[in-house]
Amino acid sequence: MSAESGAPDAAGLERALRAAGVPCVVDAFDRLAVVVPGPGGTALADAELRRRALALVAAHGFTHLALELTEDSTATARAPLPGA
Amino acid sequence: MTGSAPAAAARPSDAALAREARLVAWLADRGSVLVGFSGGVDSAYLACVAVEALGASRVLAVIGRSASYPAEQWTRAREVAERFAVPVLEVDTDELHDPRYAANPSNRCYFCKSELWSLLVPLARDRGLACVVDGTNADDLGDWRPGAAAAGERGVRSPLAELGFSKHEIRALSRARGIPTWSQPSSPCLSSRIPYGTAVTVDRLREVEVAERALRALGIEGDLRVRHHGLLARIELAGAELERWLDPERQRALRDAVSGAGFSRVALDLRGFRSGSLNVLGGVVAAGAAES
Repeated sequence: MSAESGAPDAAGLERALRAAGVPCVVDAFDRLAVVVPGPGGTALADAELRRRALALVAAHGFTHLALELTEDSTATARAPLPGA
Repeated sequence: MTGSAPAAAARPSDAALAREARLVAWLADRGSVLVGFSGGVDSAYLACVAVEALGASRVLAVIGRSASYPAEQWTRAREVAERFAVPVLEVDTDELHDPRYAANPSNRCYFCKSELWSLLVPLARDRGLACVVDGTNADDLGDWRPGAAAAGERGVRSPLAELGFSKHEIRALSRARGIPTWSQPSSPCLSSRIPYGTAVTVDRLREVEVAERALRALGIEGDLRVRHHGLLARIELAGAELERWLDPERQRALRDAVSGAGFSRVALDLRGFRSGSLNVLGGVVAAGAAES
């Protein structure tokens, strides 16, 4: 993961979250990771999974993790973040 | 945590009461003061004690108003002043027209406070008030506060910090005096919701203010911030509220409330409220430093 160099690694975080049971897309804005949940993606309401996700976020060079509140929990047609 | 309101403030300790006695003596030594008054926990307490120590005729609390000052806080400031007979003057500050402030560097607060104190120090002189004071407390001294330098350069004193008052003590002493701000969450200016390097504009400040007001209307209590990331708003809630609003059934209400302020994307921070969160994001302080 590119976190070794201190740079945020959105793709790596996305893979790690999926492997942990969080279907999602990750948008990066600087060191903020925005998790766009996949279909039925309510996994991060679980406290234990959230703790694991926060650990993964730090390991991938991010300082902040936010869950996007979507209309339909799908990860399509998102407006890009400035700097993303 | 220094900024959060306790669920129930303890009675003031003997040490806190002794500190308050020293504050009264400190103020009496000055003879008269102008208080930089935001209506927050600290300046409200300081203004009320100053009136008690010196009498209303020797105290002037000044509110600096601009687009970065939330309307709700102005209302609370006026309520406290009226209830405790604190003389108040309002002045308009113009920091948003200072390009050094509007560019939103990590020392943005220095330019804001420079503007404020450059108005208030001459005002105190004109009114014959001996000393200008602010509500900085001892806990603040460990935070990233470039605005403190602007105060120091102009001779503004911070008696709560100088005498060692902690935020917890100020809350307890405020409660004992019946000052309603005792349980109020900390409320830094609205510009603190905009990441460093993103220009501070009236429109962005209004979006944040409207979004936070809408969230309060949902019944959210305690510390709350809406951080502005362009099209995306990131909501920070304190612990218990975060757990409550992570319920998928409630998330729609959050999203609707904030999107109504003009954001096309809304996200909920999963670590919750962190004082100085954007200092971490901007690399001004290390991760973890803002988690107190």
